[in-house]
Amino acid sequence: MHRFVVLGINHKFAPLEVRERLAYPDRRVPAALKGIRERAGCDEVVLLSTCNRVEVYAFTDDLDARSRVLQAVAADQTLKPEYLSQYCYFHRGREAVEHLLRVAGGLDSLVLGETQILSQVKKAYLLAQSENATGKALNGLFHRAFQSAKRLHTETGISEGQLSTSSIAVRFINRVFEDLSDKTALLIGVGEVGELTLTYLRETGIGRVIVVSRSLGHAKEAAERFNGNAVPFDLLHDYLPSAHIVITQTAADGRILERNDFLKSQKKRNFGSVFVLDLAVPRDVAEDVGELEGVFLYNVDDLEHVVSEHAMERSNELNRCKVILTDEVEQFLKGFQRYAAGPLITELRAKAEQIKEEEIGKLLARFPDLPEPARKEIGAFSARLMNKLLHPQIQGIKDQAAAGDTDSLRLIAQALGVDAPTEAAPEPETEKAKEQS
Amino acid sequence: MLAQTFHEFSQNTMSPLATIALHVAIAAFVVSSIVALAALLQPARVKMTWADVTGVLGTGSLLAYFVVRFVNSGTEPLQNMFEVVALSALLVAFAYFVATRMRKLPSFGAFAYPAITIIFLVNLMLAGTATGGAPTRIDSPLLVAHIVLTILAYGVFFMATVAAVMFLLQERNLKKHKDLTILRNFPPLESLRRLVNSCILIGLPVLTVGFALGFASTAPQNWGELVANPKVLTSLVLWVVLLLMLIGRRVGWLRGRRHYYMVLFGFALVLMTYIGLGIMQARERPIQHAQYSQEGRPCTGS
Repeated sequence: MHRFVVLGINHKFAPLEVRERLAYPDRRVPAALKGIRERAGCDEVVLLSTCNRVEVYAFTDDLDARSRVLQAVAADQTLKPEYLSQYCYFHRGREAVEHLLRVAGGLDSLVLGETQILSQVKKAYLLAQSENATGKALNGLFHRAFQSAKRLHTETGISEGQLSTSSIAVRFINRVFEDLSDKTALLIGVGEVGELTLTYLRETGIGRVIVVSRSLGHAKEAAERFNGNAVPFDLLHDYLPSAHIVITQTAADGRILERNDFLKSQKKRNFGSVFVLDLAVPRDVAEDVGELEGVFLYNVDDLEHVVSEHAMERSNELNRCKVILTDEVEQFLKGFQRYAAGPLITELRAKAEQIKEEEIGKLLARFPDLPEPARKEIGAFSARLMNKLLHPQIQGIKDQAAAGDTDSLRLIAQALGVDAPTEAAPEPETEKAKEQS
Repeated sequence: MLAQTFHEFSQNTMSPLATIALHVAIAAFVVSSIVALAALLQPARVKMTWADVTGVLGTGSLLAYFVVRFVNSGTEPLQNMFEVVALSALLVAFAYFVATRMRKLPSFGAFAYPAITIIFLVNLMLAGTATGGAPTRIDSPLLVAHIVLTILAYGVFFMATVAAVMFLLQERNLKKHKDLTILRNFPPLESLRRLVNSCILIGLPVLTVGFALGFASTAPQNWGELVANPKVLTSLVLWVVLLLMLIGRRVGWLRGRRHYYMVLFGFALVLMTYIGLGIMQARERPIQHAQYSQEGRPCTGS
């Protein structure tokens, strides 16, 4: 069990620029799988790379798996291991198994309970499988993860609704506008949450994007990412009446848009609906703008309040998810440990069989004239005796394996004088580099 | 009591087939209302489609009722107050299906189906008193056209009213930064605004023609009565309100919430006209009916 490891970075611990540097495009994954297996000496590897996470799942005997996988990934991405190390988390054994089940179920996602990650995990697994980078261990683990995710989505309401501030904002926007394809989004200032919101809006088909920034260079960069237009900050008020969605997140000390600005703009647009998302702290938009006819003003606190309301609503669902996850992890570990004890049982049987054959050979050599029926009866008798003698021992091994007691298994193997490949139990290396929620 | 009244009424006035069709229609609309409300409250567990399926069954049965009535009587199946109101329920149901096919209007059924059911329940209350077991005949084709067009317009205005209520609730919800579960599946404000505008644009001309036909069919005989008839006066006020709403929207002085409050006011007038006066007339009708029967004059009101 301790041979399962995962090393990765995600949206919780690594900023966007780090995730961008470490991300693997699909075309590079096969070579990366090969490189990581060779450099880190892993038996099996799966590489999961999405916009929010890059993770290497491996099955390895190496007790120093953390640093070896880390170095392999760093070398592959031409990064310094020290740089990568500060953003990475590493899990081993049970926690690695649980981590994958959480990830596949969307419980580790930015948008809690989202289902897109499951298809991304499946894709990563199938790609690794097609490259012969997986074996029985990771095959079993990933299939369990898919099964667990299915249970989480069908037996709980965790995937109903979305919980990030950006997605909540987009949900509200969709309650104002029927069709976004003929709408204009105005992004004032460049920042991660605003751009994420814009990314969601792009996915829902926003028609036109205008980016306004004090730095025209930054505005152009952001505009390029969204196929939009960059506009100098001085022209902000000219473009305000044409915007249906205004997302603002400048680092200005005071308000950049006052009630009068919106009043003029609303008059020009005959008081049509406009959704204003003020993500700046301190706020960019005067509070009384929200009182104007047709203006729906939301700031970070408003959105986070809704997010927390959702979280409270769904705390029961999370509890149910935890129960399912624990159950799935237990089932997988029991199954896997039985599987892991298989070689020990095989070795034990082989050794007993060898002794039996040797002793029968010696006995029959002393009685060469023994008739054939008697020889057969002796053979059958010895087989029955061996099975009866081995039965309690094999049952004991199975029980110990099911209980996950690898130390006992090692002792049994030593006591029986067999050289079984039981799992090494390293020092509790499970390093949660950062505490996950 | 409702069931008993309806039972007696249907036994007195309908063929067995028509009775069955009407019973099925009412039961289907009651079920669709319950399902639609459940879908509004528990969207994850109950689907609005289920309410729509039951609603289609109800609408089909109601249509079958009118067909059977037409075949049996050989005249248009608008012989009494009950049938006129039943037709309005049918038109509202049609208007709902057309609106939901043209636009994505989730949760709209949670308002439409209960409203249709309420129309039926009110109708059942009126059924026994309105007819007294002997339905009043409506002979004038102009009057029938007047009734059908007017009720069609009211059905469309009912849609506008439902959309206006949904708009006001959702707008308030969004302004207050709330995310109430019950409003999560409401249509976007933009859809509701367009629906209200479309309904008024369609409804007003239909109502105008309907009113004109009403005047044409009754005015030559009853000018004096018409002027003194509160229903006629309220209808005129309603028509003026709707016209002002349309003009106000165009000109720009009627915008936002005020526009939707005006829609509610307009529909309140309709309710006042048809429920209030309907009940009043229902109480008077047995006497009037007796007088008309003796004099051989047709009924002049819807």
